[in-house]
Amino acid sequence: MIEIENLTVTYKTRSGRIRALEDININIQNNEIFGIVGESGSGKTTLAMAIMGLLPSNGFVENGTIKINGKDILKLGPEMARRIRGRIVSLVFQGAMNTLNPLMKIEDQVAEPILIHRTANREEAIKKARKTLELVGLDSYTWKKYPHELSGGMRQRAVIATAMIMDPSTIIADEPSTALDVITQAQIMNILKDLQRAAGITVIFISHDLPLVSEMADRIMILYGGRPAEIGLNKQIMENSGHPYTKGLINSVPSIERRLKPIAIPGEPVNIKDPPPGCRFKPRCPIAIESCVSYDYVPKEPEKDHLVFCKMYGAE
Amino acid sequence: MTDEFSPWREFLSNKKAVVGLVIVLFFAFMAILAPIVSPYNPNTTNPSLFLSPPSRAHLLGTDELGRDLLSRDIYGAQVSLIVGIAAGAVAVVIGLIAGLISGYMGGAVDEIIMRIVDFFLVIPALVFMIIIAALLGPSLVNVIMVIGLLSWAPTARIIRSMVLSLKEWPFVESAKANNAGTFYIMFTHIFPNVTSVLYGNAMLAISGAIFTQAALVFLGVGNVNSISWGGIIREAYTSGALTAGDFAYVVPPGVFIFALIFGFIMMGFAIEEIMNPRLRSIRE
Amino acid sequence: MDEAIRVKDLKKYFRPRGRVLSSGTLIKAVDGVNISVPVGEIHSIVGETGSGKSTIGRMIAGLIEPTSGEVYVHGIDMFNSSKDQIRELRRSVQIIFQDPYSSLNPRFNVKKIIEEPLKLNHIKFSSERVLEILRKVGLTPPEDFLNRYPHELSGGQRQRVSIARSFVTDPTVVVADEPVSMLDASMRISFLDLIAEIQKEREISMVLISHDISIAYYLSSRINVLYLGKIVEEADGDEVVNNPLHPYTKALIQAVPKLGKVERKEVQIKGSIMTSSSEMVGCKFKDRCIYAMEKCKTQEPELIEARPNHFVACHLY
Repeated sequence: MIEIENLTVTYKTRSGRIRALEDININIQNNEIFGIVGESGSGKTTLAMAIMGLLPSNGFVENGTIKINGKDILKLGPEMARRIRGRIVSLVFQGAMNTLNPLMKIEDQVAEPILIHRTANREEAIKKARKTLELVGLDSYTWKKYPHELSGGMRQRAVIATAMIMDPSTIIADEPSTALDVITQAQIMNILKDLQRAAGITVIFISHDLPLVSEMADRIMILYGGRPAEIGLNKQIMENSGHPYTKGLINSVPSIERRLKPIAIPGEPVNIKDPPPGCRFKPRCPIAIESCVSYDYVPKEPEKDHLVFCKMYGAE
Repeated sequence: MTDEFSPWREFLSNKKAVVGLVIVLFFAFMAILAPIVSPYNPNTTNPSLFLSPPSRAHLLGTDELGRDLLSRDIYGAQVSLIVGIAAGAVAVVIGLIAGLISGYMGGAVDEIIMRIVDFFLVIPALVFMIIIAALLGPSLVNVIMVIGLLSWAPTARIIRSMVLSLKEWPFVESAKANNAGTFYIMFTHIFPNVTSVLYGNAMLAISGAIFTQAALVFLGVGNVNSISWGGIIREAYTSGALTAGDFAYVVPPGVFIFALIFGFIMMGFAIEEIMNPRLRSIRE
Repeated sequence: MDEAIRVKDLKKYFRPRGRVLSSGTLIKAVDGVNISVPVGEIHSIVGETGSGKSTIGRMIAGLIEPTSGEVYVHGIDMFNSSKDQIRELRRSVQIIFQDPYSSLNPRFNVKKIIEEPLKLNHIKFSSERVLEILRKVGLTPPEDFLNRYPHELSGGQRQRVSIARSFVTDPTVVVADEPVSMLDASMRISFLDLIAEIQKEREISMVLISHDISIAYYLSSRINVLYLGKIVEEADGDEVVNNPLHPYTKALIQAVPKLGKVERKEVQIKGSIMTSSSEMVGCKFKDRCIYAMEKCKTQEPELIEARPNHFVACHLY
């Protein structure tokens, strides 16, 4: 169970301080697939990094708490933080399949976290690695191969296996399939779903691709410009969305299913170096009014578990 | 909206860069203001002061011909800087052109140039320089040419590898699709994008040239007739002062050589640091 | 001739680098492709990475020479004509590139970027022409953008500059290589609409290259599905999407994310994409095909008209 309260993450840059995330509140339940949808500037990767304690040197948590199973990991010392990383929460980051060590065989790489955390000896580690590789659909043919001998999809599975090897209770997958073709993408999604069911883990799935997330997630959070736009159950978001951005996203997807003609959202994703005051979506919003510049991000709750961060919601 | 990247601002806020710059400026002023700051004429001989130890009149003492060592050390900065910068420039320019042509044209041209580069990387450059400098005779221009012509290989390599990746970028393809010719692309598109690497490289080439010049003169070839730090050390050796333990003679020029090299290297490192992260923008 | 683009039995084979395959084996990136695009239409080539689609695009634009086969643009052979004809052709055929970050020279400002194709093709122009095209792509007021450099622009703005550059010489043929895949989802439709608008206005014939069949469906009238260098299916957009015939096309359409939760995705395909080498015999899709038969192992299927104006290369038909 991951509880995030009032999380604000800031980066120090040449051009000043940039708030990548502001006042984020979410509770992620055990054994659910939680989807985070956001485009560039949304802060979605920052969120993943903050949970993992992997913010770059110029990034820091300005405010808030991240509690994993009740313990605020932001208050832990580096040793405890290291244990969390990899053992309780593990990360499959964007483009991970290209960062496999080209000089290590697959089974060795998957076994590596065990050896780093020193929870077993080498023989047992390799055994476990092989089992985990089978779990992600890589059979013995691949175990002794090097990354360049495998396809992109296989490499991504190997990365997922590496993330799974320490039996984490949660996996964060940040754009796990962006560079892969659509068919391999579907296969990877199936693997993640199987893992979640079989191993009872929580999956936090981060992507800019709303349809993809909607196929996966039990609950979805839509992020825009470092602040939440909408949080709710999959069905609520997809069939009864409240926020104009969510609606805009859904309507702007070119689809092969015969539906209404897609409508573009005008403008561009927010530049978080210079965010607009109040509601971050206001410049692009079809229903915004002047007073949206003073919106304080207090959500409306049209149904249970469904939060809409829009001043104008229900005011039509 | 705009991400203000000012190379000068970056440079001046980098510690290495500032340290390096201060050192180099120090020696630059030493060189330019030599006639003003040096206490004596460095060429005035005074045989009665043969190898005199440091005194109030001569802070570092005198050499075997009675010339003031401090003055000679001050004037030595001129040659080191002139040769260093000029030879460094020659090496970098040749390396740039070779790397550009080799990297962009590929094929047989690339092969030929790369084998020449390999040759220059493998040969004992100093030995060659000694031979050629000895053949050409002592003169400032000769030394500059010799060092420059034998040090361009590393630059060529670096430029070539940058060019290899740059030429695949879509903006080059776009120009080609619009009938752009080879030389147009090389000089309008590729060249401006390798300059970032060039500056750092130039600093390192200059520091190499400074050292090489000192080494050459010490070994008796090159511009032995002008005042240079390498020359002073040589004279310390040939006059017996070195073996006699006259530190005031031999140590200052040595320290100056290494300090100046250090200054350029620091700037070189700083420039490379600045240029690299800039290529990766902050994207979430 | 009403045909703007005609690709005839186009092939591109590469010698592999490295010792993965034995020498003598070739990589068949494009293996006999035929495309015909009438004036003013948009046709698309849909395929994964490694399918050869980008290579075809570059051959149409005259950037890569084919191993065999021909490319005709407005009836003129792209590779076997006089130098002058080819120069003229190059001016009429432009590319829209995928990556807004690497398709613009970081040392050129917007003015220089847009003017370059005009200057290279010796086209006399007034400053108004540059301003106009910037306005057309939505960069207003255009004067504000002339002196800016790519790093001062957002990804979307850069892609607009890129599109402006592609259209400023008034091309008659445009190859759009994944024009929106690196843009945020919320912007894609507006870019596709922009491209469609300019295309319609100027009656430009276009080849759209995409790995995303939904984008191909949105923008183009006719879709060519490419697998390992061969067209396996070709039909109008509606036909391909509603009546996919080739097993690969079917798997592709099933795999495309749709809105709404699914328990598990049916992926009716085995394994992963490989490279097409000259060692391959029979149908290139056989190792991944769930319907593979004996015949598929030895005989490469030809494109046949299985339904009206709907072509497929598969032994099932």
